[in-house]
Amino acid sequence: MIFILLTIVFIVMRALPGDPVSMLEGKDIPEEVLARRRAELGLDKPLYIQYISYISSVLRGDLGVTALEKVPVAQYIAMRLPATVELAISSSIIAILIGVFLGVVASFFKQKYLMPLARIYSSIVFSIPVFYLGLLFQASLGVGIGLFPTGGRVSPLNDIVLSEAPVRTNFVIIDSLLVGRPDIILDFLSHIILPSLTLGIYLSSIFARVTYLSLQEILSQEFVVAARSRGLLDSIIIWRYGVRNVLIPLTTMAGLQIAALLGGAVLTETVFSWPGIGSLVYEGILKRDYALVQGVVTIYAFIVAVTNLLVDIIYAYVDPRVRF
Amino acid sequence: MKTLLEIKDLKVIYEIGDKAVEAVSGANLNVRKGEVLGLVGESGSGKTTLGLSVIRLLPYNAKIISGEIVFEGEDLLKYDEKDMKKIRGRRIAMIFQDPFSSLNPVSRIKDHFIELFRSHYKNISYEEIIKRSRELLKLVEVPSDKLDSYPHQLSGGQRQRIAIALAIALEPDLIIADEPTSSLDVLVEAQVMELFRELKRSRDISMIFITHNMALVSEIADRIAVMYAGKIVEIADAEEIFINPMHPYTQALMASVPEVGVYKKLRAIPGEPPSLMNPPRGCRFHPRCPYVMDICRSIEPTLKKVGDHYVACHLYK
Amino acid sequence: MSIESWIEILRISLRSRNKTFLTGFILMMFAISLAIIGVYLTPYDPTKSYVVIDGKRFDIQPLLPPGSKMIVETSSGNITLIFYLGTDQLGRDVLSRVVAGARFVLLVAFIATAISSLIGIILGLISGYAGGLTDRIISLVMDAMYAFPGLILAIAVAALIGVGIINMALAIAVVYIPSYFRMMRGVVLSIKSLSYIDAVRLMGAGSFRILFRHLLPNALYSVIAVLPINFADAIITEAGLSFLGLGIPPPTPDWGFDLNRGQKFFVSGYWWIGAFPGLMIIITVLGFLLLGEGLNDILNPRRSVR
Repeated sequence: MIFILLTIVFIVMRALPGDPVSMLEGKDIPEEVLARRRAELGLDKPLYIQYISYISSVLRGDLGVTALEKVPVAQYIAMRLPATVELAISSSIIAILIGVFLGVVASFFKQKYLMPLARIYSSIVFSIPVFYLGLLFQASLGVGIGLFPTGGRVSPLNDIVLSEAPVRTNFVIIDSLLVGRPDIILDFLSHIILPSLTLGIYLSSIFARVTYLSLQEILSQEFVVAARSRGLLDSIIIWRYGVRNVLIPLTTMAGLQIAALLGGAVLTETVFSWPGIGSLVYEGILKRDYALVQGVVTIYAFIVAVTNLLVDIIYAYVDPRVRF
Repeated sequence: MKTLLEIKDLKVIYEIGDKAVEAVSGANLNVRKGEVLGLVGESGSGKTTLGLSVIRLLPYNAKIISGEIVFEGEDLLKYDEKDMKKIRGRRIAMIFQDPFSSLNPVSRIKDHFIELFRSHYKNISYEEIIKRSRELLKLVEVPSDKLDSYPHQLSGGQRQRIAIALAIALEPDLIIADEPTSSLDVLVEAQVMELFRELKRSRDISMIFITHNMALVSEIADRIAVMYAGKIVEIADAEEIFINPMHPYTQALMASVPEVGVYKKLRAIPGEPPSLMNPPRGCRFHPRCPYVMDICRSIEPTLKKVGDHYVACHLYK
Repeated sequence: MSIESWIEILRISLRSRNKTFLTGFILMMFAISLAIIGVYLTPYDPTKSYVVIDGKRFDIQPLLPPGSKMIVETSSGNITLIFYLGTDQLGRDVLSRVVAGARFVLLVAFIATAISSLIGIILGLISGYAGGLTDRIISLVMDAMYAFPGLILAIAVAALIGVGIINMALAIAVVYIPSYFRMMRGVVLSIKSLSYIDAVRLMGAGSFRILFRHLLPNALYSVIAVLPINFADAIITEAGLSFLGLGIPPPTPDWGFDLNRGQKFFVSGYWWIGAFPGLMIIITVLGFLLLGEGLNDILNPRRSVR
């Protein structure tokens, strides 16, 4: 799976007709500079050599260096990855809470008007571009009411404080404890709320819809009626018949969510200046730094491949029909 | 014989959109202890709804609007959900048509038994449950190593046997079997019917056997009730009904049953079962009845005792 | 596949009382009409920050709130210029930009959808019909592409091949090919096993004929189910791409791009620059989405839940 992804990334980023260097860096730059850049990126070598060197360097952990500062891309990414992880976790929590809650509520209260609620909700949320949502939050809760800060992860002062940690893990929660300033966590929380809400709502639409549909299907399945006919305890029915069975489509959906999460993260981080790898892509585009963009995309390919593998494993555990 | 279950004037409706459809329109029947009552009717006659009403597992858009279901002296319709839970599985059990969808696909067979026993007996031990499960599987002739299997690993016949085992596990007073062999192929069906007969012999079970298959019901029922368009039109002993079907619908059903060794012209019943949204006036069978009279078109016949049958037909007074 | 069947489908859908579909249809028509005729109705040139009246050039004041008026003195008297949605940071009329943006965005989405559906359907046909190793390889690649976040894929392609309407459309098209592929392949697989295909084969029909005459029409309903929703998603992807700066360079009006510009001004209180383009995105996407869902309900009714 990983190889396929990497190959695709390679094809997409190198083999298609087009010259990334001139595209990104503009046509006003003198030809020698362009040629040098190309050499740096190895674009002047034949394709199959490029492919081999790409794969081997990726496996080694070498993602090239940024065009401008010549800092290894991998280092950049490692530095900013924890921020994206933090955002991912908090958004997922919100997404699951909203989505599953809506799905469960909509299916247990079978009133006519509540039934399409999940559907309406997910349609509307789907139609709102995630960055627009972010903008709205920024404008209303951030600037308008001034309730939450509109950008960054921690206030700049605190950022300096954190950088003096003995070991910089770049996870704010860990680092602030290491520096002995747990109050920074509060600052962190106030910064993370808006982007998490944004990304969380964006993700919740899929959760809501799948939870609702799945629960509906499951609850109306005959094996639930049969279970009730045997007088099984409610707790058993909810747990072993409801939840255990809903895990199956939920797991599949979790896989889909990862992709949406990664894509949404790019936009959300950009809007809120959240220092993760999503906004790194944006910076790469802004700075015309092709190596950076390529590096981040490669990492994404990795993440997608790994998580899909995990999902497959969990799925096999959850659905016995797959195992036997 | 003691009466185990008595259904009086049961009316059940389904709400579809903003309309209400009467699936069961005033049904009357009873089941005696130790007997198998066959409930025969076409699809849409309301027989499944009747069965589900007794155990109160109707879908959410169905409502019981009137009548009584008296089980061992108590009107079940007065029970709330909490009380019904105590009855289900323990005193009334149900076997469904599709054996695959009556078992939990993510649970092993032994889990089904564990859930069942643990739900009804708080302090039963794991070993005791396994012991009883093995005995039950032996009774229904399923190898006991299947306890560790998942439903999708078993054949249709095995799954249905397990469903039967689960139904009789707690030795209920009444079993409702809703088309238990309809989704099995003929050979397996024969085996399962034999199992039912054996259970009847050895355990003296009381059962409502719901089916659309006249020939099948004759293999096991003591008495037979015929249902049409939500109403019971005839009740009589099994032999009686075959020898002397009184209601025109019953007669038509008999004519459509093939008999081995007998050259018989199979006659389909002309016309179609009525739409329950707009049932015919008067007797519901009158549009298809070969003996239709004027009175049939306006007045609904009621179920009356005629000899040793109960018939709802204006032909008999 | 014929025109008659399309018209028939349209007629059935319009006559049905499916609220989802009708709402979507209205919204969609709104957006499309904006795109087609809107440009002729816009009072101002969306790319210019001035107006020329009677040969004289008047610069439009930037950052005017919605509903502002500007009075210019011309030789023929005083003319009042109204900016219903305000002006942006360069003095361009927001309303005009929003309307003109519709044309551009829909065009890109249309081209992208056309390309991706064509490629996806053809690949799906081939893969499903051929089976075996071909099928496995193509499916594997498609699955990988499908799992990959769409926006990132588009970014990767766009970074490589650069900007421009066609290029953007291509970048977006890549994202949706797997979706059409999957759907088509699924249809082909389910139909392939139907015995009537064997019957046709026995009668001597060649592979191509089978593919086009028999399999394709049956897939029509499934295509309709998926297409509008993917179209809606394509619009979102386009907005995302241009928001990040990989869209058409200025001054071409584009909703996503305006949102990016608008973000900086949002914070300072000039909300209309970004708000209205964003609103248009929502309306348009919702329109196509509901249209697709409604069509799906009408054409492929779900089994009712008991």
